[in-house]
Amino acid sequence: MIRRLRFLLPLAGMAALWLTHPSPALAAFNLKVQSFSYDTHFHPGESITFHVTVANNETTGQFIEVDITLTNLATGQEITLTPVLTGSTGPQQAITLTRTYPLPAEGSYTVSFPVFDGNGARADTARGKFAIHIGTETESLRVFPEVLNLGTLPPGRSLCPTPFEVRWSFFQFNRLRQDQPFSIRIYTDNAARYHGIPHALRAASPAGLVSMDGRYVIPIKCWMLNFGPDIQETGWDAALAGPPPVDEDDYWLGPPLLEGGRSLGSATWVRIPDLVDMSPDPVTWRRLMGQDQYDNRFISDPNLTGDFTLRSPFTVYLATETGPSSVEGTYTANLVVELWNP
Amino acid sequence: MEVEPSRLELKIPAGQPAHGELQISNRGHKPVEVRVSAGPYRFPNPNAKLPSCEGWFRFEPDRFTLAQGATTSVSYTATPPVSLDVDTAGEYLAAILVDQYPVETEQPEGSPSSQLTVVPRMALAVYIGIEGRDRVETELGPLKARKIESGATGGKQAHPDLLLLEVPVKNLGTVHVRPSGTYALFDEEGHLVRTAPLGKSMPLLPGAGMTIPAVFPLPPEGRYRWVITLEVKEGTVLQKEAALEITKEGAAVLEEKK
Repeated sequence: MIRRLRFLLPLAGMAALWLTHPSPALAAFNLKVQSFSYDTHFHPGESITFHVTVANNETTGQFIEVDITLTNLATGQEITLTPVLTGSTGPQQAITLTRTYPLPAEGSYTVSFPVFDGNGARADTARGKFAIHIGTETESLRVFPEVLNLGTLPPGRSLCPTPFEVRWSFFQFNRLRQDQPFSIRIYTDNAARYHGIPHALRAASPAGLVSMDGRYVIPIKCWMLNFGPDIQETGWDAALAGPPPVDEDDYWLGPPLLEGGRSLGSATWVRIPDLVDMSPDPVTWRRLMGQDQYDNRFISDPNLTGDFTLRSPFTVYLATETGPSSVEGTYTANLVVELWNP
Repeated sequence: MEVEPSRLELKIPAGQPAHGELQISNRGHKPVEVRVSAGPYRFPNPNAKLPSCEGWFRFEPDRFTLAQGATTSVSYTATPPVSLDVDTAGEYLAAILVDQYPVETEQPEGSPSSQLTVVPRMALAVYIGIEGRDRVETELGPLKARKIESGATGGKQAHPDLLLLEVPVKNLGTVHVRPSGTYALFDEEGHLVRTAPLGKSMPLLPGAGMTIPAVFPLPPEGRYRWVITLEVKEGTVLQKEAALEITKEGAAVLEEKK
């Protein structure tokens, strides 16, 4: 008998556990975030207002709680704004909850809107597309080093031994509390020094390194993280491995096309233009980075918002190519890194 | 290096020079040589006519050494040419370029070798309006609405269907404007379904046009009223209304109200 009871004891224990701790796996009610809105740019000390509309898709009235959660992009720390948004809504109805909160410390925060029903079960979560930025207005630019000694350029393609680093800060917003667009462009400014070869049939671009006598030019290409290549297409992880090899035509000239030739616009190493080559049309510019939420040029599968910014500092690598027609001499240039905000 | 202000938007009487100051700060850890000059305007707007005021500027000083942590003032004078009296443009554009050069350039020993000087440049946009000729006139073009189907954005991920609303704006005036505003979508009973800011902080130059987009999840089948309110310059507001129908198939049919 005692032996039989010994088998029943674990079952009795499980039953007792179930009675004292009922299963939490109650299905959440069908509540969905319909829309939400908030401004994204603030000075420290300001307050922020959230509007969240939640639809109750149940056939009975429901209690709704929305815990607006901010996640600091630098530290990963989560902050739930209190008091949380609460309200009740009738069956098949929607409710808009609105509240103003003091802002947390300076920084950038992503926003999420988890919705809970009256049982405390999570029914839905919506996530803001744009982060909240809190800061003071700033606009600055610095490079290091300022002078790159290239030594003697070897024949063929050559990666310059010293990359340079660009430090930047930019925080300006408009009346709609949206980012003020800006771009950091790179170009040479050689027009005053470059004369070309007298009586030449075709005037060459002054973009690149110019010889001391102003007659010859050696083009420069640059690479930075924004230029790729796409790891899915090439297997080259630029974030880990740095600049792709200059010796490979796929990166230097562009990937091959099925119909022959190369997709020159998809090259990873890109030419640096001169100021005189650039027109008001941005396709003639070389943008290292920038921001303009209405410029859809940079939208891709892994970058749905078309974000073309990089954290400060970022590194720019340079490379040259000399050929049989390159002329011996000393070459110099002023390479301009420009912050432009219209 | 930091420069204040980040852009100049001035209005002067024809024939009168404009004066002002730039504050330039060296936030680096060593002295730098600063060179200030005027250059062409650099904003992309290929269709816009851009009368230039690049040659109007004089800076004092225009070349100086700035110690680490120091801030200095550079005064500028923009003197319009005499020929401005016979010109009709309402606004002239340029850029102020503040360049930072290293104070000491290390010369390599022995034979000279190739060298690159990397110059950080702050480019400040300059807009000089002429009093009496500054006319603000903006036109809202025909509104457009269309559905963007799931996946039509080229993504591999599943996206919800979206509604794209487009507001074309054209600047018929003689000075630039920075249009901004809101759109509001009301249902048949007049309840507000959606509202959001609309606008662009980019300048719209004289003669140029832009299309301001607004994208949001496709609302359910039904009839809506779409109201656009656009402030093109302080005190100048444009408004337009259209009837929007989302059909059973999810197509967007738009009819503008006169």
